Amino acid sequence: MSLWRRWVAFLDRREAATSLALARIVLGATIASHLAYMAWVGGDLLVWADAAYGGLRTLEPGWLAHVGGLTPENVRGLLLVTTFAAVAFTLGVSTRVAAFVTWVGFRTLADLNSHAGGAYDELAKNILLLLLVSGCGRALSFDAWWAARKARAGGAPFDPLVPAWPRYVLIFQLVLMYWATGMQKVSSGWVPGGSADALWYILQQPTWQRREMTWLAPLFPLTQLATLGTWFFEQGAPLLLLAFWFRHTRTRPGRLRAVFNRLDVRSLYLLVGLGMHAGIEATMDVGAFSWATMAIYVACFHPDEWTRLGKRLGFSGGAPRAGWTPRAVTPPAPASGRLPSAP
Amino acid sequence: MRAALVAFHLVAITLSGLPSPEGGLNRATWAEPTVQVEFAAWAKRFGMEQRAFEDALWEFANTYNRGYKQLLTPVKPYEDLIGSEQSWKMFIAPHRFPTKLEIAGRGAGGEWGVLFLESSPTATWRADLLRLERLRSSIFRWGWPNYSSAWSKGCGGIAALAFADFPELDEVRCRFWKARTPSPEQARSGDLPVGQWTSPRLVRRGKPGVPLVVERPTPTGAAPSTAPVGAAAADVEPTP
Repeated sequence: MSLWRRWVAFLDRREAATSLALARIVLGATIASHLAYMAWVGGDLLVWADAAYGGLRTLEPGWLAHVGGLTPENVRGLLLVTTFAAVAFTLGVSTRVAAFVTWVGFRTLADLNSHAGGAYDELAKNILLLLLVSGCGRALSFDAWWAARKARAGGAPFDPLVPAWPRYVLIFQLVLMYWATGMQKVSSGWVPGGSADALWYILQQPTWQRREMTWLAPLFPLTQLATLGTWFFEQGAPLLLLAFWFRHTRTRPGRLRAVFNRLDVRSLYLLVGLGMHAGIEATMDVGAFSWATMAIYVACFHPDEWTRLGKRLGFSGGAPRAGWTPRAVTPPAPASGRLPSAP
Repeated sequence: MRAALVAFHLVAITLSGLPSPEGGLNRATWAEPTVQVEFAAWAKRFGMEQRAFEDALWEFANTYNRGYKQLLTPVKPYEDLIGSEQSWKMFIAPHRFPTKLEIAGRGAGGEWGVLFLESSPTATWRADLLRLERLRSSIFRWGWPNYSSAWSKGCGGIAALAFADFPELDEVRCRFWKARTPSPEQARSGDLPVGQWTSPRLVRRGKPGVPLVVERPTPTGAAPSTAPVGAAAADVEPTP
């Protein structure tokens, strides 16, 4: 089979929507709570209203110019609409419409003031775009419950399967993000062979720290270890892609493939990442970054794995119904047998 | 069609995510002590004189950036359309000379009272707002010389809030405490590096409806010290 046909076959795979639905829930809840808190403390008006209306900067209003510009009313209105859409997206109510409104609203807000945001804005926008076209509302959602109910009542049949490629692209996005940030950590404090003091200094920065961190001084060697660990973890992100590939082609021969699968490098990598993000959350305030990243982490696990976990926790995995989606159905492998299992 | 679109998307975001020096191509910023510490370390590694290293790096970064922009040209419209930026410059280098924001206010002829100071447990006016991550992101930038005019506007916006919260205030002052972060050894021994106040801005209460004017007073020239004098030390807890 030609490379292109294999690529097309790879993207044609379908699976249960559970992983993407979990990504939807994590990201939707993250965006909704982030925006709601912004409004609660009045940060939305300071950050996104124009300086003429009490904001911190003179801003380009974009399409909001057609409705009067960046007035406090417009900013608050857009924020509320986006927050409600994010809640609907989380619950899976009119999921696709909710995803679209959340994407447009969040993208508009996040792009207004380039001085007041972070990588989590870009990450959230990228994930939203993929979830928008993914069918992530076909599990763990009001939409799925409603469609299954109608199907049981003799209505249109409910297809709980969705294309798997949005999940694959999400995984690629995670790898790209880690690798790209690792490649740009060129400070002498980050790279091996240097002072390895980057994390020590970053943790002392008043802007990002949650609390005074000079107490870490006696543990400086540990921060050096964490510095190098972070650098290698990020530089090594392509290994995660390789681990997925080896899982996907587990029936093929090869010692490296066997080692990767025996050690479950995918889970190990994600476990280290989870520890890193927990450390970031405990010591620093970098906004919604870690939570947005977790939206991809949950998508790194195949729906079958979530279904198994759900059953173990007491959720049923029966045929089309709300709650845990039925067993993932993967199309039969092509004749060549090149695609034996989903990553 | 779908396979082609997904392939294009992956190529586009990969190109977009490649390392880029954009944002760092400002020689005024290069003169900052944090950046100078990096250059000194790298020049030493390469066995070069620091000035020559900086010039070579400037040349390389500009050439690379021009080439990179050309590489991005075909995918830029797509990136703009879907709003999928891939700028992952996260903590690329530690800031060894960070700044700490202070907001102070006073009535006519009165003493300055500190309303807010980053990391202070007592000067916590509007802390829930000023400690928002998005505000921190702005505050971090304001401490750099290339964000000087944004800093003035930012101070104006914060001063407007202070005037609204404290009717007795006639002036609001914003400034940064800038000091080298102590090394682990210094932190252990308590021998902290000295710092000083920088980038002061002064805002006077104006007539209602008239935009506030942000002045740039000359720094007082107070002697450098190891802690923000008159700020964290002062047990100030204003009540709106």
